[in-house]
Amino acid sequence: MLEILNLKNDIFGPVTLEVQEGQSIIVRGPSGSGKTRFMRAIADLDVATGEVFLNGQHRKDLAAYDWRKRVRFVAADSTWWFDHVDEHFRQDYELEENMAKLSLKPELRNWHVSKLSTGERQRLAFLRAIADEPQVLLLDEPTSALDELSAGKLEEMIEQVKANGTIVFIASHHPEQVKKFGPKEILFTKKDVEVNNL
Amino acid sequence: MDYINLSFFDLALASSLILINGGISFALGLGLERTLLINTVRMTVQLMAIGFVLKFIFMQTSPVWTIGLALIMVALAGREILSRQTHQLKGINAYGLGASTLFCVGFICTLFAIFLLVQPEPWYSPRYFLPILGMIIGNTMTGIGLGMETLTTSIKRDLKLIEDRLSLGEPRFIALGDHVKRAMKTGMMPIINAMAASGIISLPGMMTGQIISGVDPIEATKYQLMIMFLIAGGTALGTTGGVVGMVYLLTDERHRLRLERLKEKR
Repeated sequence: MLEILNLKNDIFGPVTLEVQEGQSIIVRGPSGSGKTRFMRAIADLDVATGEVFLNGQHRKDLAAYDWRKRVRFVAADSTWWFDHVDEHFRQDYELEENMAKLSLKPELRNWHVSKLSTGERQRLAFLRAIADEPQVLLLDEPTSALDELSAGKLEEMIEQVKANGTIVFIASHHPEQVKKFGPKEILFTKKDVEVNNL
Repeated sequence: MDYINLSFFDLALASSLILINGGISFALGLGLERTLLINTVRMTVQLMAIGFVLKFIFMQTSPVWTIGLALIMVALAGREILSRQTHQLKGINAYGLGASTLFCVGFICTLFAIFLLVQPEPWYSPRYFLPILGMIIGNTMTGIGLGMETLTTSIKRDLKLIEDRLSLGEPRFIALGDHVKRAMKTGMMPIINAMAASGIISLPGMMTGQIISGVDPIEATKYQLMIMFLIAGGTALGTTGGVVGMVYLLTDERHRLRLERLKEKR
């Protein structure tokens, strides 16, 4: 269970929220309302006041990097620091098998990262983020660069990690996704944050 | 020792060479005449002044005067580091990081040389203390300044990449590993290159000076080597201190990047 108590900084909040294992939450609101900042703050990438617990453990009792091994923020656009795709993954990770689930060609694993398309990068960044099985995923517009078909595949995979007990936050503008990954949503408005059950 | 004193007439004659400089600038329309004039006057005044200051301090031979001038030298060199930073930290750290690193390294290396190597009597003899310190901080300053500048510039450029690495659970020194390495290399490169060039392409200034003043070339070489070792060690220590210190100041204990601690670009 993830508990968020009065999480707040100069852009958003305060937000208080409880999420059970395997639940997903839609994070919605106009651009600039603090959706991304909110998710970054949960991963402790942005400074914020308030408390966050994962399975009863306060994040301050964990080193920041251990917290981020469990609570993973995934930005809408990704960067790659090694030359080739597969260097960004653990050797024992079943990369090709998972790439196939997102209809990515197997030969992509050996490609130079500069050859990847935006959509390929977004799907591979998703795989990179779930490879070490974090317990909470904070996805910032995870299908923004994908066509309908690939977006559908990625959504299936999100359902799959949810089924394994992962908590998933999804910042999204798509009504379809909101319907699919409700029933809970956090709505960011200019002044306020509300937690709704749809 | 046979040592030929220069008269002020000799100096005036030598300075006429600057006129050639001015003439070229005028003829080609480089517009450097004014800067050239100001800098020539500035250099002459600065050097004459430090000559008199040193003469005064040499006559005192007191630890207070020696250490006092040493501290002023470090303070001024600290300002030099600051002025070379494109992205400066906010507040006292902007000056403090470079100057305190330089202070520690400058004094460690100088005291090492004074107490273990040269061993002058008394230890605070300004003839040894001040030139050795000056050569160490003059070079270490470059390493610290270059290292810090390379680090902040590359962190600003790769902000997104570093945050992606932090998001994946990498500690700050892993996520910033490549940037730290590049900054350290850049800081140490000038002294490493200078070591290769000295003796073939350039005769270092101190050795030249000693040879002119009548010291046996082998003895002059030994001093020069000692200084080069001190400078190389000092630059390595100083660059490490400046770069690692900068990583700590640009991140926090939760391994977050804190680039808001840098001033907006000048």
